[in-house]
Amino acid sequence: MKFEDNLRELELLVNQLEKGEMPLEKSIELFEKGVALSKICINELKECSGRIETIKTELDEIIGGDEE
Amino acid sequence: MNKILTIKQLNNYIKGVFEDEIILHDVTVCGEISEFRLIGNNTFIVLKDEDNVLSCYKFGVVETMRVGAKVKINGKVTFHPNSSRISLNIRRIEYDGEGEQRLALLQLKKRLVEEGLCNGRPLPFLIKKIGLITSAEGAVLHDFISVIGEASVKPSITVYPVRVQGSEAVTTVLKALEKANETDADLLVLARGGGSQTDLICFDNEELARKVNASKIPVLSAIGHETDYSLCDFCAAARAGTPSIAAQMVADINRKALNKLLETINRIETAVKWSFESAYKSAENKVLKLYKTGILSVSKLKDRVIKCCFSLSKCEIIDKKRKLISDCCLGLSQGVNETKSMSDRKLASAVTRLDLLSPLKVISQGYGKISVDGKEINDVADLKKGDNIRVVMRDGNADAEIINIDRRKDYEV
Repeated sequence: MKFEDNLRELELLVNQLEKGEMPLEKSIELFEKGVALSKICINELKECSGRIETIKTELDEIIGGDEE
Repeated sequence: MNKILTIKQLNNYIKGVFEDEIILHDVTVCGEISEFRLIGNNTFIVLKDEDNVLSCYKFGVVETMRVGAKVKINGKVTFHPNSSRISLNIRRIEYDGEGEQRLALLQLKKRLVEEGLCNGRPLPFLIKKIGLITSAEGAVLHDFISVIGEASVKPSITVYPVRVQGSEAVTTVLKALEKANETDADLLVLARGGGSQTDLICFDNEELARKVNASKIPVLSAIGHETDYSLCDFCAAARAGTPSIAAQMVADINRKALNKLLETINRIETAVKWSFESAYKSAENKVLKLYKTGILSVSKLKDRVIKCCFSLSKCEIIDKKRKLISDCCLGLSQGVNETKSMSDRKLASAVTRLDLLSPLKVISQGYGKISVDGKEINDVADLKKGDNIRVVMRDGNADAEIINIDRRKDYEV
């Protein structure tokens, strides 16, 4: 699932939790789910490494020759 | 036999002929601007009509003229002996409507607008991977990467080197778009630094503009300077004035996504804290109600309150789940620690606070832990009248004696 889908689910869950109309057990269950979702989102941000690569393709051949 | 001349002699003779020809001192010529360059404080223009061209120059800046405009230029025709070139030394230049090439472009744009190709589309919520289509040389690549380097959440960048001017530009950009669309990039950025209108002309290509619009992955177009709009700019998902602005847009999008996550984590914190507090309050109220109705004596009230705290802190649910939750919180903290490059302090503190709310820390919110002779007590059934208990609370211990045991009848193990 995508980051924004997970975040949306997390928000729905917080909305539910904020209503406060549930037993403590249910609250803890939601909290636990929320922590798991937060973790997934954070991990996804962790993937953003700022890595840079250059694609070597036939483009180089087109460009290459007369570049000297 | 004619006299043999040096080149210098001949060229100077020709120059003299031009000088003697009074008509050439004051001519007005009309045509379409095909090249327009400012070099220092001097203006160089190439005027054309059909197959003929004329170089024009002015010592001084000519403003508000662009490639494609039809103009009338008045000036003096000069022969330059050093280069054997003829040019028109501009005295006056006036606008005379849009040229054919420019008109054709405006019509093309109108058609694309009518087809609904110029409406843009939303950019992704989070940008993890960028396909950057640009020249391998030049400042654009460097500027773009350095702005992204400052971002709180840095996407990875795959560079597709292309020609950004000249005859091969359209072909290479088309191929790059095709190639990049085979990847799982979140966004493609088509970037080129500023240049003359002629330099940017390849981005007015109809096939390219259509391909940019049809791209599966949204394209952010950043071509030329802030004031230049190309056809690709109009047909892209979004347009950035310059490549640096495009990089800033990406950084802003990611910062917003990160902040949204932080904000939501903060809300969970508040909500779960409130749940604990309200559970405690409701238990407290029940005991007080019993006291008020006279069912409980003062000494029994004290006992009840202790037991209420006790059952909350030792409650079965928490006991079962606390390991799981604390593991989650720990994982979360570790995850955050590893993410050094993000605006980690903010995130880390949010998560630390989240961690503090784990039931392991419930004790610090006013609940007590009970033991007899160092053995942790979880059930009233493990106690008997007269037992000396130790209650561990956040600020110290209290020793007490069990004076009454009232086990819930409906409690099932």
